[in-house]
Amino acid sequence: MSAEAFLISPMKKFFFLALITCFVFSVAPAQELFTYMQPASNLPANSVAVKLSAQYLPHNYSSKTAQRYTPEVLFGLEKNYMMRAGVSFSNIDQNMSFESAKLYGQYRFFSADEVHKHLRMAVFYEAAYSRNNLAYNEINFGGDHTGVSAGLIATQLWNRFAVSATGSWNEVLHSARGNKGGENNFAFTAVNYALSTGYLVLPVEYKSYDQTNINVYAELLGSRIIGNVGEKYFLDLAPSIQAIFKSAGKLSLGYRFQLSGDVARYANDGFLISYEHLFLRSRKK
Amino acid sequence: MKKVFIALSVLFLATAADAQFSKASLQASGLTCSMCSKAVKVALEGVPFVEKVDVNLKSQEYDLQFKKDAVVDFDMLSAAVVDAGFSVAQLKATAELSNVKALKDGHVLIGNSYFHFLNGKGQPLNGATTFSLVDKSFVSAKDFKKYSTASKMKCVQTGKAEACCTEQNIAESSRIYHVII
Repeated sequence: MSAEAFLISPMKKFFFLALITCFVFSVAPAQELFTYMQPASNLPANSVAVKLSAQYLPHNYSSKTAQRYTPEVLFGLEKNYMMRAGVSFSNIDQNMSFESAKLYGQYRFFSADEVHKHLRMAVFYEAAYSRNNLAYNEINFGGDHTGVSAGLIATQLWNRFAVSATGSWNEVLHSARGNKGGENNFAFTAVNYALSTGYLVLPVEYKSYDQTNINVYAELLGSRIIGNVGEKYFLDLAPSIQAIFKSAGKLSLGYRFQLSGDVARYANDGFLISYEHLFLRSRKK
Repeated sequence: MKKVFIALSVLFLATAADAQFSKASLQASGLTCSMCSKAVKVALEGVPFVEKVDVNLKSQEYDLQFKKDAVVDFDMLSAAVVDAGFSVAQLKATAELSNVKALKDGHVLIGNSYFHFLNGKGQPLNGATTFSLVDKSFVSAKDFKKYSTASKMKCVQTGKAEACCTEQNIAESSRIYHVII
C-alpha cells in the first residue's frame, strides 16, 4: 500500500471526527481497556499479560511505510502497582532490527467503586532507551526517544461507557541537549495529554465468559512542546475497535491521524494492531 | 447502674454458637467488563476455604460454596476481590444456627468469629440463616456511612473489639463482623 493511500484530507478528517463523536455519544451510556492509552485501573494482582503491537507508519517525507513491532510483558505486582516492560523492533532508522526498550510503572492511589461504576486515579512513570537518531520532534517513549516521563491518569466508568484523562511530563535525554545546535533544532521537553472514551457495544447482555466483547474507542492524543524550536503542538484523533475473546484475549485495531499541528513528525498518521493475552493466577491454596 | 445492667446483659448475650458457614453471596463493584469479572472469580477461587464459585455476570454476583468444616475468614474474600482490582458491594453469608438470639448490639460467636447484630430484636435464629456483613470492606463507602450510624458502639467503625466489647469478655482487637439480619 502506498503512503498516499493513508492520507485523508482535512475536510474528510473533520467529517470522520464528527461521525465518530456522534457514534460514541449517541450510544453513550464501555470500557476502559483503551487501545492507545492506559486506564487508571491496574492489572489484577498476581496476574501477567503479554502483548504484541504492530504499527504501520507512513513516513511524512518519503514513500516508505515504516513498521514497528513491540512485544511487552505486563505484571500485576500487587493490587495497586503494575509494571510493564517491552522492547521494540522497527525499520525507521535502519533495516528491521532492535530499536528500543522501555519500562513503565503505574500506582493506583485512589478508587471509589460502586456497582457497575468507578472512579480511579493513578500516577505513572516511564523510562526508555532508543537507538534511533534524534530527527523528529514528536516526543514519545514508544520507540522514538531515550528519556523519562511521569504523569497522572483519572478514569471514570459508568456502566458501558468509560472516559479517561491522561497528562504527562516528558523529558528526552540526549547528548545534543544543552548544546546550542541541539537546543535550536530539537525539542527535549513536552507535555503530552489524552482524552480517551470507550463504549461496550457487545454483548448486549452478559451471559458467559466465553462471549466475545466488542468495544469501540475514540481517543484524542495531544502534545505540547516546551522550548523554543518553533514547533508547538499536535493533536491526533485515534478511533479504534477491539474484540475480547473468552475474557482473556484482547485484539485491538486503531487508526491514528493528526487533526492539527506544526510538529515535524516521522508520520502524521498510522495503523496500530495489537493483541494482549491475560493470564490470571490465583493465589496458592 | 444502667451501665452495669447493660454490661451484664450483653455478657449473657455474648454466647458461643457452634455453627458452620456453608455459603455466601458476594456482589462486586467497580467493574462491568467480563475480563474484570473473570479476574474476581479466579481470585475468589484461590481463597482456601472456597469450594466453588458461580457467577451472575449481569449483576456481578458471585455465589460461593464453602468447603465443609473449613474455617471461614470473610476478610480473605474481601482481600481477594480488592487484589483483583475491585471492591465488595454486598456480602450475604449463610450459617446453620441453633438457638442464637439476635439482639441489637449483641455479640455472638459463630464458627471462629464474633458477629455483632446491628438490628436484632431478640428473635431466636435456628437453621440456615442468612445475614449481610456491613463492615467497611463489605459495602460501598456510601452504604457504610448509613450502617455505621446504626450503633453507637465504637467497634462498628473499626470492626475490632473496643472497650465496648471487652466488657463482654472478648479479647481486645479481636475481629468483630457487623451484620444486619
